[in-house]
Amino acid sequence: MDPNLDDELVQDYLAECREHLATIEQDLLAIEQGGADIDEHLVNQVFRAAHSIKGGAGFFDLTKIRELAHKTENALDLIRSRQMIPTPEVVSILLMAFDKLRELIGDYGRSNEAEIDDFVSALTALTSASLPADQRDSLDEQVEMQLPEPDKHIQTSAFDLSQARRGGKCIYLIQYDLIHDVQRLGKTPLEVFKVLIQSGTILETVFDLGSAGTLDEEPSNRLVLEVLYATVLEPDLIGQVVDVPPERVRLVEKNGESRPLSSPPAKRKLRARKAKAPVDLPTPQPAPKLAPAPREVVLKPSTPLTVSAAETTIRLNVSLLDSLMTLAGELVLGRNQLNESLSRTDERGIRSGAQRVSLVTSELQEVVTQTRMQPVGGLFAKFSRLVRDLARDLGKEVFLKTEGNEVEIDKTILEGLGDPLTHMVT
Amino acid sequence: MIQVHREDDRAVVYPSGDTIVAATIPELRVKMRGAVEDGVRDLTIDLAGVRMVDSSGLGLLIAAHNSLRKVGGQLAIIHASNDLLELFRSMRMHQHFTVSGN
Repeated sequence: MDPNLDDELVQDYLAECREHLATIEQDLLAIEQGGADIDEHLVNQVFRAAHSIKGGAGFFDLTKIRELAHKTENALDLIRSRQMIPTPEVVSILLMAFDKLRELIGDYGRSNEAEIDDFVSALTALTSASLPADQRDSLDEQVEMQLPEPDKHIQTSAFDLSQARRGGKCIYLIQYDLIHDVQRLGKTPLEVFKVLIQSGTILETVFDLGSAGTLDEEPSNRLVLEVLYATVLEPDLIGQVVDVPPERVRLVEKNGESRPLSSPPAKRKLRARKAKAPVDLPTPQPAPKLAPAPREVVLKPSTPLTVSAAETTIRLNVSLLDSLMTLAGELVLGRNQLNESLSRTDERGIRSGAQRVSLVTSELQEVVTQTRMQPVGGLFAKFSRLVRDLARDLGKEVFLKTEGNEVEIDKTILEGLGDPLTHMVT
Repeated sequence: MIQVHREDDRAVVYPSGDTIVAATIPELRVKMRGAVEDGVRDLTIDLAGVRMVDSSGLGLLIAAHNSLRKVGGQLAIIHASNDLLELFRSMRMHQHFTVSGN
C-alpha cells in the first residue's frame, strides 16, 4: 500500500466520503420520486458530494475512485441542467455506481486495482444516450487545433472540450520538452503527468516522434510533447503545476484562438475539421419528454444488499461526551477519597467513599449505555432502497411507510435486527 | 546485462536493472541498433523488471520505433507496469506501437 495512504488526512477524507455516501442513497431515491420535476437543491447536494469525493481522490492518487466519482458527477450534471430525466433506470445506475464507490472506499488501499469498467461504460452510455441527437454527434466529433509548429495539429473531442469549458475550466496548450523541462529538472515524465492529472484533465497529447531521431543518430536532446490540458487554474496560477517557460504555455480562448501566456494575443485559429463541428456545444436544451433508455447496460450490484454492515465509528452527542468526562473526574475523586480513608482506617470515610464510587459507577453505566443508543431511523433508511430495488425487480408498486424513526435502540440490538427485518421485508 | 533473444527476424530485448535512464541507455541503444542492422524487423522490449523510464528512456523507445519504421519493421512493448502503461497511454504512444501490460 502506498505509504501516504496511512496518514490522518486520508482517514479524514474517508470519513467524509462515508458521510456523503450515507446520505446520497436517500437523496437519489428522493430525486427518483421527483422525476422530471427535479429538486435542484437535492440534485446539487448529491452533485457536490460526488464532486468532493472526486476531489479528495485526486489528491490522494486514488485513480479509480476519482474516475468513477467523476463519471457520476457528469451524469448528475446532466440531471442538474435538465438534460437528463432521473428515470428509475438512470437512478439505478447511479445507485450501483455509488455502491461501487462505497466498496472502493472501504478497501481504498487496493482500489486502484479494482475493475470499474462496467460502471464507467454504463455511466458513459447514460450520458451519451440522454444527449439530443445533434449533441450526441459531438461525442464523436473532433476539433483540430493548430500547434505552434507549422503543419502540426492536435485533435480532441468537441464534447470533452465544451464540457470542460462549461465547468469553468481554462484550456491550455502546453509544449513540453521532455529533456529540458523534465529530465534536466531532475523529474520523470510520470511524475509530471501525475501532477497534471491531480489538478486537471489531460484532454489530448501529441508526441513529436520525429524529435526523438532514430537509433543511428546521436541521442536527441529535445523531445517535444504537446499537451492539451483543462484545469480550473487561471493563467497566473498555472505555473504552479506546469514547470515550462510561459511562452510555451498557450491559453486556448473560447473563440478557439490560442496565445502564449507571456506575449500579446496572436492569431492561431482553432478550426473545425468537419464543417459543422462546433467549438462550443450548443446551449443546453430542455430535456426531451422521455429520456431514451440507456443502451445495453447490464450491471450487477457490487455488494449484496444487506443492512448488517457493522460500523467501526459512531457519532456521539457532545453533551454525552461531556457528562462522561465529568463522571470520570468524579470517579477519580471518589477513588482518592477511598484511598485516603483506607490509609487512615477511617471507617466513616471509607463508607462515604464507597457510596460515592457506587453512585458515580451507576451513573457512568447509564451514560455509557446511552452512547450506544442509536435512532432506529438509520436502519429503516436502508429499507427504502431495498424496497425500491425489489419493487423494480418484481415489477410491482410498493409503498413503504416507516414510523418511529426517532426511537433509540442499543447498537448491538440494532445490528442484530438488521438481517431479520430485511428477511421479513423481502 | 542486457539480454537479447533472437529468432529469425524477431528479437526480444530484456533491459538490465529496473530503470531505463540516461546511464543505462547507451548500451541498450547499441544492442537495439545492432539488432535492427542485423535484420530484426519485429523488436519487442520486455519491461517486466522495469519500474521507471525517464525522458531519455522514452526518447530511446521512440527512436527505436522510428528506426524500425524506416525499414518496415515494428516495435512492441510488453509487461509494462501499471504506472508505465498509464504513462504510455497518456502520451498516446499506443497509437504508434503496441504497448501491453503485465
